Amino acid sequence: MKIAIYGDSYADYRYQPRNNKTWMHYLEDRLNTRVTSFAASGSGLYFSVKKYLETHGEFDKIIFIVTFPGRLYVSQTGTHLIHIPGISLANLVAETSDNLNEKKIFSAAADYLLYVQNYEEELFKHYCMLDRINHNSILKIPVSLDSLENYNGTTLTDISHIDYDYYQIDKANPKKDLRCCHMNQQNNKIFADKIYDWIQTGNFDFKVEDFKDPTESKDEIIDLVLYI
Amino acid sequence: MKIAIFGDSFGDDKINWKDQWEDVGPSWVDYLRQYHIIDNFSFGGSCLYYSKKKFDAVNLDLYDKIIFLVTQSMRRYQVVKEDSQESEKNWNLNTVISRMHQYPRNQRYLQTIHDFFVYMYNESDEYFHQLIIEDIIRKRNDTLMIYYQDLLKIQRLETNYWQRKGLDYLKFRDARKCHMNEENNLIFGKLVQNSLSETTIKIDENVFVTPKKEFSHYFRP
Repeated sequence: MKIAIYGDSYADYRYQPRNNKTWMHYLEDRLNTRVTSFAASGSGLYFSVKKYLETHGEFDKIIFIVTFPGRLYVSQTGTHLIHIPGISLANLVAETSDNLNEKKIFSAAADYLLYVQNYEEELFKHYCMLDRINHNSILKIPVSLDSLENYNGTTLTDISHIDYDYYQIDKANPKKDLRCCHMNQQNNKIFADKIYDWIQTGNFDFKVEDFKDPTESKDEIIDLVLYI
Repeated sequence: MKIAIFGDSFGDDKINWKDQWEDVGPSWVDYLRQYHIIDNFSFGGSCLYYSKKKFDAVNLDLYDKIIFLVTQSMRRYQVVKEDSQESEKNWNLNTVISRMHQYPRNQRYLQTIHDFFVYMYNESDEYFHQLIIEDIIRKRNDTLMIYYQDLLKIQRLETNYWQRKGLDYLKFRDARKCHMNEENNLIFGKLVQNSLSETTIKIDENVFVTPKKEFSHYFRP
């Protein structure tokens, strides 16, 4: 069985601080096969949709992590960075990059996010794009409540915030996350088990109550000095 | 027949003509008004998202036919908040550049839109434009879709006739209704009337005509 995963940092296969396993590694262990992740940290929905349209035909099962609406995609030459998840990163690159083109692109992005971006339009775009993601065996998992239209259940942000709440970490002030896929190790494993069940049975039971408080220390969860 | 028209200045026959320029002849929409009840939701300068918002807000079941003028993708919708007032704006690069000189107070907004077009506009915006078109057709598959590339053929036939540089036109107000001279409005009106049972329209620029009057009739200070 061939399994593809699309999405943002909640499905970033390569980010493994302290050699921890992501939920995708746990899933591979249970399935005894490799999965293919096209996810990229910081990416917006357009990037995932583009990857999906290019590649989904080769796969039997699709796990689509649906990111926040409103993230920007860059395809201009002059920068190797193609994802702008929000204004903090846009400002950071605009201020610190030595590359003049990159500075201009990210400065334009920061201003755009501040002065122009219209959330209603972003939601409209987001749901238009999601409508085009159809596969006979696809699981769409929301990062936020707005990720899916009229959604009111558990989100991946809820799972991530279990650790923030446990250690009373300020959610509004993003710092460097030292967890795989923004979840503690136990929760990466629990999440993998839920995905495994979906692959086997077609049922996805996703409730925040099923996830656990961290056993890691606070400084294994987040670096409070470094920004993302 | 009851018809709703959505689109930009190619369909907006009211923007510049309120109480002035009574010597300018009827628009192609006026031609259709002779035979049908028309609700015209077109708005000059609007982007496709803006027109689609109007389209979504209207009860389409009230109409026997929808005509949708699909504008160019390189336009942007913005809600401007100033002095606790909100207003909707639609921009393209040309309008932004001209407004930057006229309204220095809004410089920051305008510079942002300008920089968006120069540094940020990309394939994702084109893709979204295409999704809106598909969404319109999905919602009303009998919609008569008229694409700006076709309408530009008529506009260019006229502007090329004057052999002026593009920026020259920014010094004038376009007094032509829907960017077409009177004769072409009539030709286009008939073409649309004959295409009301269709979903696309084929525009052959050879059936349209070059201007018959002085430049000052069409372009005014």
